Amino acid sequence: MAERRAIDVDGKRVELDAASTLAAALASSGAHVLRRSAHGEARGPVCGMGSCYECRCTIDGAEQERACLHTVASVSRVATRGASARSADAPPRAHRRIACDVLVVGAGPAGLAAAEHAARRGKRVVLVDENPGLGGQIWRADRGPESARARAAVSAKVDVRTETSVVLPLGERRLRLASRDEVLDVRFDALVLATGATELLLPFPGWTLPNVLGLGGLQALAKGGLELAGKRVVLAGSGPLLLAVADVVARKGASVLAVAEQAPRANLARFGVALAARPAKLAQAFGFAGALAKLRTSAWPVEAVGGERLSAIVLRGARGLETLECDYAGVGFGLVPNGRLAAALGCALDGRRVRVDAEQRTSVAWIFAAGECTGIGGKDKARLEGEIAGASAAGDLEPARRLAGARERELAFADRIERAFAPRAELRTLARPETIACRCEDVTCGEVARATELARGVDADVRDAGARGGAADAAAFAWRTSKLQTRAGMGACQGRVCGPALEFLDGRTARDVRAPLAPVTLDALAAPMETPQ
Amino acid sequence: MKRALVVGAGIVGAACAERLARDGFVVTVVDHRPVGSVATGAGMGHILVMDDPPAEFALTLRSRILWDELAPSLSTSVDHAACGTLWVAADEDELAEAERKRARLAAAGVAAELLDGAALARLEPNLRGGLLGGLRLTEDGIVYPPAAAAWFLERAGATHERHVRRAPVVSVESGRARLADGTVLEADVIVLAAGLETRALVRGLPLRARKGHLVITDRHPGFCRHEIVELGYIKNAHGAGLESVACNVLARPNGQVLVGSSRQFDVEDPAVEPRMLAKVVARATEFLPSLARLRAIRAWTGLRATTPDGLPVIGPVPGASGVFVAAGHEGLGITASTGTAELVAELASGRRGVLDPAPYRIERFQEAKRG
Ligand SMILES: Cc1cc2nc3c(=O)[nH]c(=O)nc-3n(C[C@H](O)[C@H](O)[C@H](O)COP(=O)(O)OP(=O)(O)OC[C@H]3O[C@@H](n4cnc5c(N)ncnc54)[C@H](O)[C@@H]3O)c2cc1C
Ligand SMILES: Cc1cc2nc3c(=O)[nH]c(=O)nc-3n(C[C@H](O)[C@H](O)[C@H](O)COP(=O)(O)OP(=O)(O)OC[C@H]3O[C@@H](n4cnc5c(N)ncnc54)[C@H](O)[C@@H]3O)c2cc1C
Ligand code: FES
Repeated sequence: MAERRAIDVDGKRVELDAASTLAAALASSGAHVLRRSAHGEARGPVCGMGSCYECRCTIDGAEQERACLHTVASVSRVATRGASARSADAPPRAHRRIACDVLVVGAGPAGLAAAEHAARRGKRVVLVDENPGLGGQIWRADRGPESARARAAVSAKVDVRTETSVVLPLGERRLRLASRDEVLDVRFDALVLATGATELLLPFPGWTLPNVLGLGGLQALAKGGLELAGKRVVLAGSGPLLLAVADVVARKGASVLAVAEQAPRANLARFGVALAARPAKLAQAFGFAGALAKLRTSAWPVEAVGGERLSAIVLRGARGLETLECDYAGVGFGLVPNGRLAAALGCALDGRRVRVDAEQRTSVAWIFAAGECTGIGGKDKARLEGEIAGASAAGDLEPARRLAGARERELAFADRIERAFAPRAELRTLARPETIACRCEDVTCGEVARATELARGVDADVRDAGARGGAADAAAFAWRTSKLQTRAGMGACQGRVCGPALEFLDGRTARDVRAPLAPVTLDALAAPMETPQ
Repeated sequence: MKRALVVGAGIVGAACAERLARDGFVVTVVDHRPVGSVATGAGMGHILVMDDPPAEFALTLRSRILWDELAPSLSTSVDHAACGTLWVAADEDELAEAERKRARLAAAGVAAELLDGAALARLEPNLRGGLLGGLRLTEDGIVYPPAAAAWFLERAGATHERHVRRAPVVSVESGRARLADGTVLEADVIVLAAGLETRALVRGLPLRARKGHLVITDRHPGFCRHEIVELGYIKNAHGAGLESVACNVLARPNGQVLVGSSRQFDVEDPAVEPRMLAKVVARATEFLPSLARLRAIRAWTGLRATTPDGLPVIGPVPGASGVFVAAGHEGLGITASTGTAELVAELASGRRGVLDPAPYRIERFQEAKRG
């Protein structure tokens, strides 16, 4: 029996599984609503990995903490739904300066490989991740041999720091990090960014109801301890993750009512053929026979129904509209490379992918990137790129040459995934004017559209500029206008969710990552740059 | 029908457009960037009366009265609220300054309440203990500046022109302005409200950049109610030191807390400088220690346009009849946009109004040089 821990939730003593993430444990205990939105709507966890900011509550006196980034074992007191429980008496954080050779950000398959291979070459390596555990998305709570080996490889030789965020660039080869009890200014020679991906979450009526999560979000909560036995689950969206998540939740005893893939069957078949040459991938993507039985293609969600939480989801597919009553829905339309940190440090992006050369070097000479942030391609691509990046960062370019062919094959695979699961045009028409686009500030899709009209002529102008000044320029203009006028993208998540969504819906593009690079309490910004001599 | 052309869709240009439209002008606004996206998008949005020097007092007081007149018709997105200003005194000198301010304000009929340390603590419990007192102006307010600029433009019914041509104005003469794409726009009245960049359009306009840093937090409802400013801010804003910071903290109506502010002369690189950020936050937490526990979500910078005497330039451009400047508002352009617009409209139609235009004329710099 797993260890239980009693903590204070809104003034009541509640026993929770100590090893679970707080977000998962609260949901298991029936606390589905963690916060009230700007307009008072009920909200709960969506991404399970720290990027949507929907799970914010007051944890041990600190307001607006993300419940999915804490484990129950490290928490004593929680206040949900905006109940103020701020305490001013937190001990001040220590401020220290350290130096290393290679700093790796992100401890998924790519970051673990990078850290391992840099350390093998005698470099002093620091590895940081804002999540509590090592392993990133795929190896979250995984006990398999490959992930165990990857973790073991760093535990001995690498200075590993979890629950640690990158908060400020401090000029060339220096970053400020912050954890719960420390502000750390790190000086290094090379930086490896292995920041992974986030999910493409698209607005549709009801998508903000508690218990409508991302696909990866539902998976992360499930792996983080969410009890699913006997729960009815509907999964919808696109990509290999759909079946992988079906597998995870079914193993936890959920009854999977439907798996709706928006791409047509023909695309999947083509993808399947492409995979046939790669049996390991095939097993990974289609390993769950039960999920295949529930799979419907050319099907997608049109509405989530409920009051304070989800009660049913409406799917459109070959059989027309179908309403399925359920407890949880996982909905995600693919992955988006997470190039935020790279962009903030001045690295060039191609679309949302961090641009790298064969050595995994970005456009900034001392910064390398590996894994999903350079393009979505799965674990094997991440491991391979991590190895190259770690070695290159350590000054050894031999792996870049030796693994060039394998890398090319992985990149070709990544392109095939992207084509097979490209989101269909109908998904642009799901949201109604009153559907929320920006979940942090409660800005509706209608308000975003109106904002550009309000400054009259802008729409005409954007088309105009598209022809004249380039489409990228016009898209940035539209994003900036709607952001300034409606505050869409200005809230806690800083456009992590609505940015990619609006880009898919109407092309407006966010390119403005600003300090702080993660939300931190102000004391972490106030610490002086140089410690007095 | 008389035509007006306004160059610049920041809050000053937008307010001018609205005021000229009320006078019957058909108004066109030209800007190659999104509405309110330069200094206006960076501003805190505090609407405050500054009681010294006299010309700044007159302009900000008149402006606040005009804001109050507009208040009932502002759209909800402008988020106008009367939060009031709390000037905080840390030492005896500052307390004496608070008393002098009160007297100056009272002489002009503006109510301001002198507070002792205990009253201050009751009003804003998150202020540190041991402060000597302060001065409270209940009628000062707050707006969300970019939405205010858009609201002005909407009211002005400004034509599509302003965005159809996404090219900056490159030169202006009496009756016409030329855009970078070669287009020439004609108008009876032209207002140059291009913020700091107005210096490229008017020869000899002595504008300097003064960079400021701000940080905004997540929502922490109830943290503070007023705009809290240390009395030392005045020395800082009016001083000529190359670099300074002062505690300037404001709660937006939604519970987000804005933390400022810094001033750096002649720094035009918009990058957020961690060193300045640290100074700003450290200063603010000296006054509000529990600020340290609030969660910062974003920092940014903006460039204030300053003049040698700290007053804006509002008035006709010598030698170009029908062309007016409205720029150089330093840290008060959101506040002073309404008074500036009124003055521009009066000058454009030759009316005499509430404000004496003399202190704001561009000629004052030439005269200062000669004299
Ligand atoms: C939600 C989600 C679920 C997925 N589930 C599966 C699955 O079940 N099966 C599968 O085959 N593939 C899955 N994938 C794909 C998966 O990303 C890859 O297979 C593989 O894990 C990629 O490895 P990576 O190292 O590039 O990124 P990740 O594994 O995503 O690791 C990135 C790490 O960087 C950290 N990080 C990011 N930014 C910062 C920052 N600024 N500061 C500190 N830390 C930071 C994150 O916390 C994360 O731990 C999933 C992807 C996502 C986004
Ligand atoms: C950190 C900070 C905090 C502040 N806080 C406050 C506050 O709380 N209260 C307050 O009252 N004031 C405040 N201010 C000051 C206030 O923001 C400015 O005074 C005000 O926004 C100036 O408005 P503007 O319209 O003159 O300039 P801007 O907003 O800069 O607008 C000028 C416009 O002109 C356009 N333009 C430029 N060149 C051309 C050209 N050649 N052709 C066409 N268009 C052109 C630009 O694109 C821009 O849109 C603050 C300023 C800063 C930096
Ligand atoms: S669920 Fe915690 S941030 Fe998304």
